[in-house]
Amino acid sequence: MIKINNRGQHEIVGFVLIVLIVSIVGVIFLSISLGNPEPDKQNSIEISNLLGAIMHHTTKCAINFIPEYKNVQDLIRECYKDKSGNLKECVNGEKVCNNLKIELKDILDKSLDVGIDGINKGYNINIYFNSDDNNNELILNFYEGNFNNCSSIVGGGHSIPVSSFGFGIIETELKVCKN
Amino acid sequence: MMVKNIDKKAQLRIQEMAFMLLAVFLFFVLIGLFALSLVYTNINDSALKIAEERTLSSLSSLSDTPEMSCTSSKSNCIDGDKLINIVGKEIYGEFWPYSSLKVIKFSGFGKENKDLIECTRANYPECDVFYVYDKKAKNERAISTFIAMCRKELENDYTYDKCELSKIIAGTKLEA
Repeated sequence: MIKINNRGQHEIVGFVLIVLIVSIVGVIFLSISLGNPEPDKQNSIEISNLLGAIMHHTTKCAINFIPEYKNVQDLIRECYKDKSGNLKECVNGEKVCNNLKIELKDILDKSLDVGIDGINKGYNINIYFNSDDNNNELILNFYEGNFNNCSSIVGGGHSIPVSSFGFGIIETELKVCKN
Repeated sequence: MMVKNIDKKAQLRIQEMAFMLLAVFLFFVLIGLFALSLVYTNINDSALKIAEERTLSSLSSLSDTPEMSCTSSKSNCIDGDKLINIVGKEIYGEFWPYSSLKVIKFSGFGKENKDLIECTRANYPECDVFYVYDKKAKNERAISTFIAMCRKELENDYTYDKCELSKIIAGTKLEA
């Protein structure tokens, strides 16, 4: 009689242990999968369209004479040449790369509505030259706002050929942190 | 008597075990349902995203129509001088599948709706927004994308293409 009771107790203890182990494993798995979610990173047509449209935007920088104003795409090319030692200035005396940064910042700030109460928390733009042998050379990089606790991160890119003969391309990448 | 008692106890144990197994089974079914609902929500989100991207593509393809496309054959670009001529022409509401269509120039970015200066032939290009048409749909959802808007400008006796970033906003009527 005592033997039968002992066996029953052992069974119950074993069963409780199994249930406990399964529950602990489940809780650990759930806390890992739900506790620290990585924000979604995705390509966005809207961001790609924004970059494409920005490239056509006419700047206030004319290099040879007024009104031969450069668009953003041409100004990026000029800025790349500037970095390679072929220094150029706008007719108003401003450095090409300075002008590019000021114009791009103004355009992105106005179009992306960055801020605590805005649609977006921050953005980061990265412009670099990618040579045929995959060497990257930074042309311009700046950001606004921050990338903390983004609900999602969307991004897009635009490629600009340096010349019609090849010799690499200039890549423009924009990442936006959504509120 | 002793045998009967042991039999009853065994039956009780079997019942307990059966209930326990049923409870464990139900517990896992609930977890399964929870996981399924999560997966289904993700699929639904993806479907919504794809539908939105398709509408965005159709919106940006508006810039390739002869009524709006830039003369310099730039992609994703509309001609402001063409656009001002179709402003207010409600007939285009029958032509394009949107309940309303407007374009906001770069000068109008960040401005409140009431502060936007409406573009007419009299004030063009010193204005902020082109209202192409509006069918005044009661229940509509606005979708927007960025485009470039170019126009011919004269300075120092030279004409050149002046382009600016703009936003095209189309309303789609939601079915009740």
